Amino acid sequence: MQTYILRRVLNLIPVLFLISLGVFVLLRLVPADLAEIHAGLYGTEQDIEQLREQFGLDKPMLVTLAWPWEGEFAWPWEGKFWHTQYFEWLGSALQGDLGESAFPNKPQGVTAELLDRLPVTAELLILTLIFTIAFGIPIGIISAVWQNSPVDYLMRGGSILGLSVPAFWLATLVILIPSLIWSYAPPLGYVAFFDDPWANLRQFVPPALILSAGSAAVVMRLARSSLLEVLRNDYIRTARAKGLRERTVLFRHALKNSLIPVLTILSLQVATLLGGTVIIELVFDLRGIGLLTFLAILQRDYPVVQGVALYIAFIFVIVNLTVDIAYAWLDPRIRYG
Amino acid sequence: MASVYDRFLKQRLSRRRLLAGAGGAAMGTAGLVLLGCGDGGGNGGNGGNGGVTPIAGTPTEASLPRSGGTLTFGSTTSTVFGVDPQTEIALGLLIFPRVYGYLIHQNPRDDTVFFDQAANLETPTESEYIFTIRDDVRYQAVTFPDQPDVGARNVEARDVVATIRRLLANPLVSLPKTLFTEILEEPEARDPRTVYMQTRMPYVYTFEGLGSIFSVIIPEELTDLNVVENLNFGGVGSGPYIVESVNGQEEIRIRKNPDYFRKPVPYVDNMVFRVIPDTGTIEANFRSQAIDAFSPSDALQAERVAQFTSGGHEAIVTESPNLAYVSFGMDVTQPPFNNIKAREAISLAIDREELIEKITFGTGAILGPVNQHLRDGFWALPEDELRRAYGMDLPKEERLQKARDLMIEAGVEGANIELKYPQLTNISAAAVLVQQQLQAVGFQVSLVGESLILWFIQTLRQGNFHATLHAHLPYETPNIPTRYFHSKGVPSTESWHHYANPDVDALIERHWGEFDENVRRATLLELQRLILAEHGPMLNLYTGKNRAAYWSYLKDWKRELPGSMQQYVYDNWLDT
Amino acid sequence: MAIDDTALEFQMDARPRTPVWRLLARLAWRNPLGVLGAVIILVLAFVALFADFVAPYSPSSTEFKAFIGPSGDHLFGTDNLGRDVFSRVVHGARISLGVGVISVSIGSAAGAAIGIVSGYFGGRLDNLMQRTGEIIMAFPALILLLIIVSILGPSIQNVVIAISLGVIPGVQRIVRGAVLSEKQNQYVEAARALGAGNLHIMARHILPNVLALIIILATLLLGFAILIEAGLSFLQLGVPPPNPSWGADLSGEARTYFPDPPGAWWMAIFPGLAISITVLGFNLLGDTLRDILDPRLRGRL
Repeated sequence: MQTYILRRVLNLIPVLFLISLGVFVLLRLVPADLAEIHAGLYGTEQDIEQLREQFGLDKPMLVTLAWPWEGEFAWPWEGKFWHTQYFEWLGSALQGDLGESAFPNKPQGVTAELLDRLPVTAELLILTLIFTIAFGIPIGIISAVWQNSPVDYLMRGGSILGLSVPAFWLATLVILIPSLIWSYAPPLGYVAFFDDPWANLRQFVPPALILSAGSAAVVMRLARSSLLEVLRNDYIRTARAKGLRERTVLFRHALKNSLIPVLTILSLQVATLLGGTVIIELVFDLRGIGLLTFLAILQRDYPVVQGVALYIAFIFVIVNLTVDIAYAWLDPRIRYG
Repeated sequence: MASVYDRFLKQRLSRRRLLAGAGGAAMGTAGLVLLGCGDGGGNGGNGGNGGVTPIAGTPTEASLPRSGGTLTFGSTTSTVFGVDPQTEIALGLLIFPRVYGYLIHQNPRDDTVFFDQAANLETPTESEYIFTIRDDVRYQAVTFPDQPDVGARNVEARDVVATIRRLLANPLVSLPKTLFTEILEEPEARDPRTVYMQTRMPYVYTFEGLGSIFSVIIPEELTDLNVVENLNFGGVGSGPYIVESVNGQEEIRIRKNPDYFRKPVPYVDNMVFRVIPDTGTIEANFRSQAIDAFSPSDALQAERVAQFTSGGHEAIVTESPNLAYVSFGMDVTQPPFNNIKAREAISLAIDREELIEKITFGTGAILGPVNQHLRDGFWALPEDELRRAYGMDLPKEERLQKARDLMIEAGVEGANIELKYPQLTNISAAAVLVQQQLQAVGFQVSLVGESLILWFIQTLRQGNFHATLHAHLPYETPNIPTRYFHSKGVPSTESWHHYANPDVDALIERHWGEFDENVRRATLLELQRLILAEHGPMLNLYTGKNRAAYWSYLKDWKRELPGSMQQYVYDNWLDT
Repeated sequence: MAIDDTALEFQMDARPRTPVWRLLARLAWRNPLGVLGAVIILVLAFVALFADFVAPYSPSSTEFKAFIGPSGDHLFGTDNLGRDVFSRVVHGARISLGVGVISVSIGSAAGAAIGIVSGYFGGRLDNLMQRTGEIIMAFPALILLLIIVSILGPSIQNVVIAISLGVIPGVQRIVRGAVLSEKQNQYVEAARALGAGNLHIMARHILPNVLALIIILATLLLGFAILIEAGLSFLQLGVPPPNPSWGADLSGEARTYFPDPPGAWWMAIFPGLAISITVLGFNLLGDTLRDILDPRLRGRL
């Protein structure tokens, strides 16, 4: 098992590297750089040049490319070749320093900013995943067991609706209507769960429920069809023929096998949910990483966007590892495959 | 010069009177530049000059001030850079005069000057200023991480010199540098308490520069910092409050300075400036008293908020004219704007009344090149003259027909206009309305919205537009508003509209040296008539109202002080 | 839904014994939800095509008073600038469907082409494509599109480009999977034995066999594309004003003017309903198409 996990981790490292590189290059295509933004309305060309130097933006982007007769020329084995924007950023990122934000939010820079906002987004994501699973899987099972009954139609209709209503609209209504009727105000600032569980849940349950509507629908539909497929298998027929009770057949034999594709879709849903946090955090004024990302993209704050990209890649790695381990648990053949 | 100096003396008297009473000071609800959400400029604005009308509740006057408590101010300004007093142009500037000390500041209503750390000022000639600094002002006894220790010493002349040197050398400084353009000579510390300053020419806006909220005094030890590691997370000042924490784009906290030299102020122990970008969320939080004060974004919100009562307190809402305004800028080197008749047609086609009706909900006003909210209209042209110039005295159809006729004369029927605008709620709405209005007379208008920051740096600063809607900052004198029409523009290097008119330049430069107000006013009026006849390069469209809402337990929140003045007074208190 | 034997009959027999219309009627009878989806989409397509006739006023005209409630003259009321909300919703259908259809067509075509080529040839190219696709799919689509739009600048054309790019990896992955199994079929071997070139086999033999899959995918992705467009426009990085966009019309103003005064709830309700109903239509139709054309896919899409 350990070697299996280790192998998976090693496979995922290039993904981390490539995501950070891809985002880095993409961001350099954005018009207007940090220096121009900082120079403000009245900055001169000279000011901008001076700032570029300070931010290290005058260095080459990836590697130092020059002809041998030019001053800046370096061979790949020389340190100077790698003294570029990307590799210097990567070097300090590996030491836990993601650099300074263009708009100083925290004296300790982007790393502190991300760590500070992580609890908000993490709690939102975890709650959303809990709701996704808690609603998606049981409803999927109910729907499959009573296939083509009115209950099934109702659940499936509901799930298609869940997929169709945009989260930001739902969120708008959920905030506006109670605020008119009960003068409800979403609590200001982040309240940690362990400080005040009630206030914390009041803050997080509505957005998590809204965010989970779409993913729960996806999970429900897949759980249903996957269970139906498993139930058609010979071994289920055998089990039934042996006279096992329907409940035993369902929970002992069918369920575990039908969960494997559900796991796959769950891991893909995490990326969708991460995107969803951008809008939900904006509408609910939750100071998490989603809102940070949106503002950073809007303000051309590359150091933050680069940090966020790395964080997304990390989540991808963690989710994939968890899913792999869960696969191995659900289906022992994988471990030795 | 005499008249200016008389004002000092008069003002020093009234200042003393002000401080003798328990009241007499207030805290501003909105800052100078990007703050609040008044409906004049998209960036919102500060309380303007002129009358403040309570539209609900009765502002209660001070009885006996009580110490203590935390005052939370909410703002929809989502762009927060930090609290560096020379570079911040958003929420952070609310704390400058509260944390740092300053030599003087100026009242934009009547151009009078107040003294703070300056004990005396002599002006031997029209371009020389000799300040004497008080000997009883000490820096706060705190040290911030990565900053040298200042050691609670007295404020000295060398600090003023170092402050101005940093302002001129720092590439991150934007607006304040413009205010100092004509005050180029570096100040000189004659002795620890005497600063000698010389302006490049006799210049009436010297006090606007020296007295702006950006001109607070930074201790010399802190002016040496690398510009990237700036004062954004705090710095030692000599004001009534000490920076507690700065969490950009979220909140800024300041706490009482126990050693402040003007006892017994301040009364409030802690102040929190909180960013709440969504207008609905900010309203809900005001209702639940999670925040004590904010600026309603429009007349409708003000009307709603005015109904709030809770726990025996009532919401008080006040309204005041806004110094910020919105204009339509053109690149006059490009067709159709290079034709004066086409510009006149545009000016006639724009329906300023519709803009005022639909964007400010009828609370706004038209304006000439200089906002009439400055000094109660002293510098502005009379309204009926403006209405004539904009064709507003004609019936709508006649006005539009005149515009169409002018377009035919100029040969620009069906001309294309690309209109850029910063994506601020009010400005986006104005852009849509202006597009409809121009299309009604036969222009083809395409809209290009940009985020505020990109609009600043890529469109405005580089003069990179065909036409643009311009959300102006709440300027406190006619200085910058008129510089827009100078061939060297606002930054004294180039005109963003690529406009050059020697007659306009001459009048602008002439009024810089006219110390007699009536003479200066005559020059400014002549200048504005000339600009109106040019129909460009910038057509000022409308200015609006600024609003403040606060709970009745917040005492001495004096809204009658104009512009940035509200930020220089510290004796508001909480009666809870 | 059980495997639909009508559908099987439809698929297996090129010359059905019963007339086509009767088969269609039977299909419709058995898939009422699919019919509902098709009807929604047909109505929307009609509205989008003939928006100029359906809408009583111009969507960008500001000639009316602001905040008139829903009435005979203004079915959905007017907004803060005095524009007719009903006309904006009607014209919004044109933008939403237009952006959706064009971007999904481009994206699916490109994705299918990449999927077919990489699935057919396999090897190193395929491996590279798969890894790249995986990485792009690991990245949240909305954040990626926000970055792309901020590079290109907000305009309808750039939103189309961004969404097309966002659609490619998913289509590519699923089409490639299908091609891998098609490739094993004997008819491919036969064609090759007859001397057919790679291009010929891909275009004449493989493409027709994965076409149904691509159509189902595209239908389901249309709903996704419309939601993404609405999301981008809601964040003011999508369709720029004064174009009527459902997502943009729901941002800012719609929420600001919901409470009383002015209590303009209609600004926040109708565009949201329009998005939901449109996406619902595409989801219902896509689901039904999938069940009819290729029931095996049920678990995978």
